[in-house]
This record gives sequence, structure tokens and C-alpha cells, in this order.
Amino acid sequence: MAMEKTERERTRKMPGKRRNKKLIFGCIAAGILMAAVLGNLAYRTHKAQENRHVTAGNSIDMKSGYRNITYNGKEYQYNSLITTILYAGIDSEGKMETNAGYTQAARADSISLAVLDKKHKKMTVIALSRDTMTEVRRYSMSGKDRGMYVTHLGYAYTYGDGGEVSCENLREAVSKLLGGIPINEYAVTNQSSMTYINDLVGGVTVKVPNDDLSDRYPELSAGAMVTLDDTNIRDYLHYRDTAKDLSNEGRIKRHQVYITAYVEQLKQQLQDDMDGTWKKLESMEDYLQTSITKNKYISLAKLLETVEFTADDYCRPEGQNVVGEDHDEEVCSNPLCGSYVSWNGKLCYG
Amino acid sequence: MSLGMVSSVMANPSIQDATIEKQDVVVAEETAQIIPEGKKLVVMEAAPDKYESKEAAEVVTKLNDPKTTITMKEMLDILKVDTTKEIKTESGNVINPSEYEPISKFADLVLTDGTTVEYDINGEVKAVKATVKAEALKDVKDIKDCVLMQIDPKAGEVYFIESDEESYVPETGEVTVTFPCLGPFCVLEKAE
Repeated sequence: MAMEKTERERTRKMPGKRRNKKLIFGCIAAGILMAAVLGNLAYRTHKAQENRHVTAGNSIDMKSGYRNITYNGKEYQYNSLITTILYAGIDSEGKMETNAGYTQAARADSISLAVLDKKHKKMTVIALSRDTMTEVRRYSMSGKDRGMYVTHLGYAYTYGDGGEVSCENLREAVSKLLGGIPINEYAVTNQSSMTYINDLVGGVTVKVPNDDLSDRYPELSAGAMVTLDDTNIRDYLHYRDTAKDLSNEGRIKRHQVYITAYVEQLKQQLQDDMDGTWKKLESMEDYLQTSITKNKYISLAKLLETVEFTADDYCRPEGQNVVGEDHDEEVCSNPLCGSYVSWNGKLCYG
Repeated sequence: MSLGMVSSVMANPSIQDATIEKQDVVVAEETAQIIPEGKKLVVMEAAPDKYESKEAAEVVTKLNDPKTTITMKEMLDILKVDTTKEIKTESGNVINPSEYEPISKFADLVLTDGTTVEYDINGEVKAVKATVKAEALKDVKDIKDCVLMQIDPKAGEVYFIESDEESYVPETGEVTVTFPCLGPFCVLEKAE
């Protein structure tokens, strides 16, 4: 406001015609400058995008396709009272920075989809093995879209730029795997984020579900009650013995126990201090990639407070684990991974 | 052609590189005969600091660095490939490398005894017939649109190696080709 007043005072002192001329010249100069800046910006943007044909996320019809899903020849209307959030833990260390090129980002190690049902006040978490063989979009090193091919789901993040394109590529692959369902939001973290996530709720106490870690970390043997903090959270969530076939399975089981306990503590934390929790999330900006804005966060936090979530609601697609030629592979028994069971065999969805 | 098999007793490792993973290489019988005892051919992460050719090191470093980008033209310029002249693949077909772009980063084809790494065979540059596997080559639309680009790490010489349907396994991304030398190679695909 102070600047506007000074400008007005200055123009008032000018004699009529001279003032108008100056104004006209000023407008023309400003217009030329603006055009030059915009032109330059457009040119640079065009050049930067020239080799980057980012199509992930664009291949799904965000309008009609997100209202109707065709499954087994039958059309279903999408339930808008369901909110889905994709979570992925990436196999990298340090700050999560966007690369200049493509196909060199880290792998998505842990992939799950939180399904929040507003009507039934229920939350389900679908744990997807990163070894699930499914359609993934791949790119050239410069970002040219090479189309879809069947590979490990964990590569979907790798093929992007380690930033938004990677997140969108993973979102697209998971959506396609699950029959084209919309995935409303995503949150992606890496190994360095684990301590931040754990600290967000002040640490989590778990009963270790298996002996997968006992050789290396005797304190994390099956049945031990352990409070996970900065010293052991990464061992518990990340480590697996790659010399053992299908060892990723045991890790997913540990994740189930952790997430079940974590969600309870998070709900309490949100009730106690929703604003403070957001501030903590903001402080881990370098270790979190997410589509969730503050407004979305508030509505999601309120929704989370209302839903029930137990260990039985941590599900996985019915399928088969096989030892592939080079890596473990998981193949869904249903073509669209359309039926899910909890770890005790209870049917979650089908 | 008979191939010498190398198999691992270890359980499957985690998925690694989305383009060319580290691997033991299956070699043709004629190549097996020239490999010194106790040594084997492997594909490993490119180590440009070990190359004698500065140009080869620069190109490999730039393509493999996720924080930088390099175009095909820039790579050819650094490697001093004269694109105004006719360039031929190792099979003798004319190729315009400018029409291609990298779909994988560089990996090194080397000889190793498990400890040391060599970019030649008994001090000599020799061609090797080998089967390499690349995630980048899995289920490609047309294998004829893909070539391997190899750089001699000593002289900086550039080679373009074609594959065909007979020597290509789409399910695994395996190609059996003759590499003119040991050293860094990447996969190129014709840009549409």
C-alpha cells in the first residue's frame, strides 16, 4: 500500500500530456519486457521438456475413468467415500533429491496402499511386495517414454527422476495393478526418513513377529517387546537377509506389526496436536515426497481419527511367491490382484 | 554354439539396477578358450577412473551421473566420432548413431579373478563372444532398434554392436553378441 501511494503522488506531479506519454511508453516497455521474460521462460521450459515426455499419471483418464471401473466385463461406479494413499519406502540414503536424468532413482522397497473408508469408518492397508510382477512404465535416460512392460513393481520409482515423476510412475503402476483404481495421494520416504517417521509419534513399541533378524540382531528375536528408536528402527524396518529366499516376506510381516502400532499412536498424536504434527512433517521436507498439502492433511487427519484399524486390516493380495531366475517374484493369483487376505488368512476384500 | 554356464549358489538378491545389473557373463566356447585360468568375465559397475582414455572416462562419468544429462551428440563429440562420415556397426551395417539414445547407463565388461579387474586379456585387446543380460532390453518392441555401444577404455575407440532375434531372449533381456574389446558398454535405442 505504501508503494502504491508514493507512485500515485509521483504521477500527480506530472503535467497532463507528458504524464500520459510516459505512461504509454512505460506500458509498452513493461509489455515488451514481460513478453521477453515470458518468451524466454517458455523457450527454456520447452527446451528442458524437449527430451522429457512425462506421461506417467497422464495415461489414466482422470475424469470418466475415475468414476467407473470395468472389472470382469462389469462396470462399477467408484466409491467416492473411499480415499486411498500410496506409501513407498525407497532404498536410498540422504536427502531425497530430483535427478537430472531418468532410470537411475532408487528402488521402492516397501509399498503399501492405505484405504480409508469414510462410510464404514474402516481403514485397510494393502501391502504390496516390491517383487510383484506387473506393468511398469519405463523411460530412456533422457526421459523418453518407452511404454509399459512387465517387471518388478519396485522398479516403477527407479524409472523416474527420483522426484515427482518417480512418484507418479509408481502411483500409475500401483493403480494399474489394482484394476485402475484412483490413488488419491502419495507419500514416499527413504531410509534416512525412518528415524523422522518414528520420532513423529515418539517411538513405537512392538512385539517382534519373527526370527528373521535374530542372527544379526539378537535383541530383535521373535517375541521380544522392543521400543523402536533412532538406534534400531532401521534394522527392524529395513534389514533382510538377501541370502535367504523370499526374505522380503518376513520383512513385510514386521512392517505389519509396526504399522498397526504406529497408526494407533498417530491417531492419538493427531488428536493431541494436529498443528504440531504438521510442523514436524514440514521439518522433514528433504526426506519426504508427498502430494499431500496442508489442507489435504487436515481432512485426512480428521478422517484417520474416525476409522478403525487392527492387525487384521493389514492385507496382501492373494498370490504366489516364486524364486525367479535372478530375483524373487510375486505373482497375484487374481489378474488384477483383486482379492486380499490378512496375515491370518482372513479375507479382506474379494 | 555351446556356452559355458556360470551359476550362483546364493539365494536371489534384491532387484538392483533397472538397466544393466552386475552379473557373471556366459561366454561362447571360443571365448572360454582365451580366458586365463582362474579368471572370468563379469559385468560390473563402470569404473571410469580406471580407463586410460580420458574421453571414455568423461562420457561414462557423465551418462552415469544422475545429476547430469548428456545427449547422444555430446557423447559422440567428446569421443571424437566424425558423424559426417559413414559409420558402420560391427556387423558391417551403416548406422547413424545420432538417431539413437541411451536407455541404460554404462556398465563395464571386465576380466576378474575376484580381486583384480582387467580391461584386456593377457595384455591384449581381444574380442569376446558373450551373453549379457540387461533389464533395459527386456521385451523391447524390436531388437533391431537396439544396439550396444561399447568404448575401448584404452584407446577411446567406439563400437556399435547389433543383435538379432536369434540371439535375443525378450523375457530376460539377454543378448549374445561379440564385443570387440572389454570395457564400458551401454544400450542404445532408436528414438522414434
